[in-house]
Amino acid sequence: MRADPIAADEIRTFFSDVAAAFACAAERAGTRTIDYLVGSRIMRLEFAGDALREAFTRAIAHLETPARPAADLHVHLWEIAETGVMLPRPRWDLDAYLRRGEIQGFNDGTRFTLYHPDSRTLFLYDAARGHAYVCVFGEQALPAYERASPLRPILFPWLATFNAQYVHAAAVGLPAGGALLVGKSGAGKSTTSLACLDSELLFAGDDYCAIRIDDNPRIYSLYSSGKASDETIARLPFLESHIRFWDKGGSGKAIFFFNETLPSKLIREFPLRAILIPRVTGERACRVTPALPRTALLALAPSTMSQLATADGQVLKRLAELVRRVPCWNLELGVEIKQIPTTIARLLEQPLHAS
Amino acid sequence: MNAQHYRANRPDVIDEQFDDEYVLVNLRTGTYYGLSHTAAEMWDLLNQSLSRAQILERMQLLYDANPARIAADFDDMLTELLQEQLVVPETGGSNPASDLPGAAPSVRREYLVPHIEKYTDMQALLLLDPIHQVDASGWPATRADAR
Repeated sequence: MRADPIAADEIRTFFSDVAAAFACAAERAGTRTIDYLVGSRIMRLEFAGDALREAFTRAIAHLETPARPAADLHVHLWEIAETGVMLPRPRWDLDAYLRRGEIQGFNDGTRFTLYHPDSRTLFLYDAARGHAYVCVFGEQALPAYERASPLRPILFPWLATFNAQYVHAAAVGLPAGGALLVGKSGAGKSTTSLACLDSELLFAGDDYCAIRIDDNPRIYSLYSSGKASDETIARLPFLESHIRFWDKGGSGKAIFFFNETLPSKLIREFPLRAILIPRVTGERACRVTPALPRTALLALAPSTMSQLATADGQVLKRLAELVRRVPCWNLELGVEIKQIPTTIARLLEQPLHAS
Repeated sequence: MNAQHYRANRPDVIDEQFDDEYVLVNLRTGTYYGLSHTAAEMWDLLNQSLSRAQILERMQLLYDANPARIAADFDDMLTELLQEQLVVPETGGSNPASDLPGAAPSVRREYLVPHIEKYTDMQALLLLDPIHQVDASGWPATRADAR
């Protein structure tokens, strides 16, 4: 992304002002630091005060690790209502707020600036320094999707610094290898990944995860959360006892944090052995058929790129590289829901060459 | 029109090739496209800075079809590509290395009417604009309970 040259100094000044505001909030409210292991990298969250801690850590608690001497990413978070420390005034006008939250002229490929008016949350990420800032006006305005999948605007560019791609996809598998489930919302990703919780397969995410894309692609779990509609819960009644809250003001779905209720069913990473494109058929049986890489890209890229502010052509190239490297399959979902995990497990046991 | 040539509307439009198919994204509109067979060939030729006349000449060498039909189909596809803002007229000169039509294949390919598959289901997500209500702090909000 090309930065507006007029704004180059403005970006530095704004980042510096936000860092000073966090220091002030930290002095007023005290800080607490928690480290997380994402792949082989350490992400450190430093909270000024307590207000944001639960909202931003509940979904990633399964990645928590004992404190390390240093972190690859250091995220500073504070709530204005709790600390009384206001953000510096925006150094841009109203036309600068773009469609996915990015601030025009304040994203130069190294520094990322995003603001979500809906939740009144500012996200800053300085890739060169490995520091990020998150400021929320009031924790109560955070929507369920931010609690279930926190820090998305920061994780996406940070993961890219070590050749990992944040994707809108579910992932299930075993330590020896697993599958990525791709497709737009409603295609069957969540149902499939949630059905696997009642099987030998382990869960790495129902909506988002990260993939290290190289000769041996690996899935990294980001969130232990899940969400399901009434209809999905009726088909998977074991989920009922795991519901933590209902997203009544948003999607209307039940929200789960499986780290709290099914920790043994979670897996943090595994080699990626198959890309599956779920499709509800209405037939009885579940089966897999070979899919074209192009079909997998069209199932994965639009929903990933449309949700990631600052996503550009490089993301499409990385995802295209991925679908060329990993065998792709159509996962035809029948009404026998228990067949879904067994079909995936059987596929993962075999040498995988889709075409 | 014959001498006019076109190019992909970059950086708004990005493409990725899979064998003889292309996936295109218009980042500005949030629309995805799939081009295969004849449509993919036409896209490829358009992006070599070839003029309409040069492209038609090449297509007639490659495909087993009536030249008038190829020309009509190409014009239809070009119209759609322009409407979708996937290509724009090129203002520079055409590709000098492309003056030669190229060698004809030993067997001409089956001609299929070029077709652009369009995926618009992500547009709403991409184009969702926040409502900018600004409070005294200078920061916008869209939720009434956040103001």
